[in-house]
Amino acid sequence: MKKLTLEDLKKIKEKTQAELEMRSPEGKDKIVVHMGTCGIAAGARETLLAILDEIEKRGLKNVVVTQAGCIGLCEYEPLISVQKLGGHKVLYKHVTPEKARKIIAQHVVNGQVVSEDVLSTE
Amino acid sequence: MKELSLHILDLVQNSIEANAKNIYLEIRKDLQRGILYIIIKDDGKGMPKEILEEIKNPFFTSRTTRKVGLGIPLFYELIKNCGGEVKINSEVGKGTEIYAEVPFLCVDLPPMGNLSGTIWGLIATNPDIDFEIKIVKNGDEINISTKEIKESIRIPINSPEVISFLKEFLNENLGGW
Repeated sequence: MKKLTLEDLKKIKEKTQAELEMRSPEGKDKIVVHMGTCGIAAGARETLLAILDEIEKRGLKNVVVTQAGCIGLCEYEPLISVQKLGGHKVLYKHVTPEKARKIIAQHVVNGQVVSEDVLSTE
Repeated sequence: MKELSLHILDLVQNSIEANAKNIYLEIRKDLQRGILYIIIKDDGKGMPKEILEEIKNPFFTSRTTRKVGLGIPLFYELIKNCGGEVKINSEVGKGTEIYAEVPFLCVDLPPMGNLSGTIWGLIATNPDIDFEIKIVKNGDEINISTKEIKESIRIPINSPEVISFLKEFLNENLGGW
């Protein structure tokens, strides 16, 4: 019979830890796509799909994408907010799929806010 | 909105907003009768009668961030203009059900559009919600249960590998309306 070694246990621990990290939004960069009626009518679904596609292509494991409702700024839709771990929450306006890909590359991956598309920072 | 699948996305957003944990979505095309059925059921917080009565009024909303609520009124007008019907049942604490039927040959009915994108986006960004999806079209029946997927894969449904797989599966199976 094969004996369970300390090495095996370590592997199991690492794997489980990695899974737990994946499951919890803590310790990750957050992207929120606003998907109220106004957002959807302005193209938020295409923006969301571009974001998911870009994350998939780049294999970004440390990013969690969620959605939110309307925050009353319908004229600026599609809106997304990006919060890097330990950074400020940045709200971007009129985010087309092209802009979303740029925000992922510039802000999420390289940490540089795309200032021309920022609506507000908190 | 230019696609039916965008309306569907918008309606499901209401269920998410109502803190639903289980959402059932059925889209069924009955070729013989020429009717498209759209059914959404959730176990969210539900609505009292007063709100249900006002739900088709675009100048009514339960939100405080703005003064209009266009999601259901837009969908309702669209279905009504095509000679269809929308029924909404809701009970506080139990959930809400939207049932719509519409003749799919109506010229004013927008195309289904990117339904796989709608469903993919919903599943990928709401890993804690269990979606039960049933699509019946042109003799095909597709059933997707995210609860079953979660139980069988044992890794998070929003992890990149699963998301990639789901995207391919949905793109392959949900076209051709």
